[in-house]
Amino acid sequence: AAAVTAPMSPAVLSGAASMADWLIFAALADGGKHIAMNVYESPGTEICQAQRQISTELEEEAYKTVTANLSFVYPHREAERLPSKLTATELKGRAEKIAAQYPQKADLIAKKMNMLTIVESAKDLPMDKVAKVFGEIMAEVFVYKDDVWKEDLYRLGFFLGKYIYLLDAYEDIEKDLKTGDYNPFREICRNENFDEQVLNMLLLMIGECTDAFERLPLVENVEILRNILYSGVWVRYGKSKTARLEKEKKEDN
Amino acid sequence: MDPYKVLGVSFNASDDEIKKAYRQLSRKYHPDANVGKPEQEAYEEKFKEVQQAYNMIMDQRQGKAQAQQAYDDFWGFGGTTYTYGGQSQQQTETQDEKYIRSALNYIQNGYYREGLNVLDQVQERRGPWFYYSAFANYKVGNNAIALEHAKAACAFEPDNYHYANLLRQIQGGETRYQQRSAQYGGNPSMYGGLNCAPMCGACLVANLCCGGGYMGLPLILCC
Repeated sequence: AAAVTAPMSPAVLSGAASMADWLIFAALADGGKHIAMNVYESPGTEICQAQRQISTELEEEAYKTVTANLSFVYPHREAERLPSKLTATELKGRAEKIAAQYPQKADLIAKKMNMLTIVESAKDLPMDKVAKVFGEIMAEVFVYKDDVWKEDLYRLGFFLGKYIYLLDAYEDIEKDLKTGDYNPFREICRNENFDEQVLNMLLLMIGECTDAFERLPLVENVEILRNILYSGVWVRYGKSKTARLEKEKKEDN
Repeated sequence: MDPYKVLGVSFNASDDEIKKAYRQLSRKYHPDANVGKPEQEAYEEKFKEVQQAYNMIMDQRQGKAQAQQAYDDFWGFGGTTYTYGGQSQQQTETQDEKYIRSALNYIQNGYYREGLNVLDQVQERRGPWFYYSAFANYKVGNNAIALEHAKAACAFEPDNYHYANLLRQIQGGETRYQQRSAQYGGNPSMYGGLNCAPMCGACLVANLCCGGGYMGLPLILCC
């Protein structure tokens, strides 16, 4: 097939170069074991009229080429940040295979990744709404099957996605302020209780996520998963916060 | 039906016991497992019953049953001075009141996005505005906005039972999360310092055991 390359917006890729990013890529690059054909339009995927309008016009073009042959143009420098087991080329190859196998799902995800760029460049959009777009992407990844559990899986993925997005943003706030890149926290990051505000938002998200998680009749490995959701997810927050506090100390001295 | 009886568990069975019971029974009564057998039809009914029972218990335990009650009662707000829904609807109605009535209509019928768009038009925003906005935002997944607005509604009318209920529901997930996370080393809101040690242990376990699903990549990056 013709190698039509539709570049994924560099802003999306460079901005997301962390846990969120490779989680998605990793899931896409998974040997297709867990991502099924069924695309599920859930009650949660409402996009407001205005956004839909903007996005359809811009997306038409990109959308066609992406559908034809999903390929990522991954900035070379970012390849260094990928886990060493996976090179950018390998990732691209696998992603293409998966996209060919599950066109609808890959379609939807690509569409929403584009939406993310759009939404990030819109001014004054509440951070909750921006995070929601990424939430919807993760939700797609988690709904691997169209059965009685799809709603719970959707909620699980959705709120985990919002958690990840916001955590990433918290990690990157200082860097983004310097480079002028979009960050949902740029307005509140100088507040005195900024760290606490972020923590509260994160707790809100992970709380909804675990509510959905606990509804699933999981028996094997459930304790491992619980360890991740109740404890593991905070590791990066802890590290970010330490880094910020240390930086502040240095600046004070 | 008595969901606990259906699953064969006691009323104070743990969540994990409930899940095990569900798994066993749903395997036994699964349509695929009983094709051609004389009990096939009866078991199909049983299968649905088991699913229903499981959902009922989970709903109850997460306070969703109360939430449903609150939802049904949603429009029975009292103690406000707004005159919507039947009273003084005609010429004396302001533009704002028209918008709110229209938004309410949308929201009652599940058109949350449309309802929110209409609410956007309203100039004067008080308790009811924030309440409807919180509700609709919660339904479409904007729970952070919903929380803000629910708090605002309660600030306007501290004695409003419905507002307080909605706020409780929106915070419900976080409340339950706090209760559970204590068992797993806690979360940052529980300790002032940054105790990385217990979490790293968890991460190692997580990485080892969940590596398979993501091609051996760690699910959570750690130190």
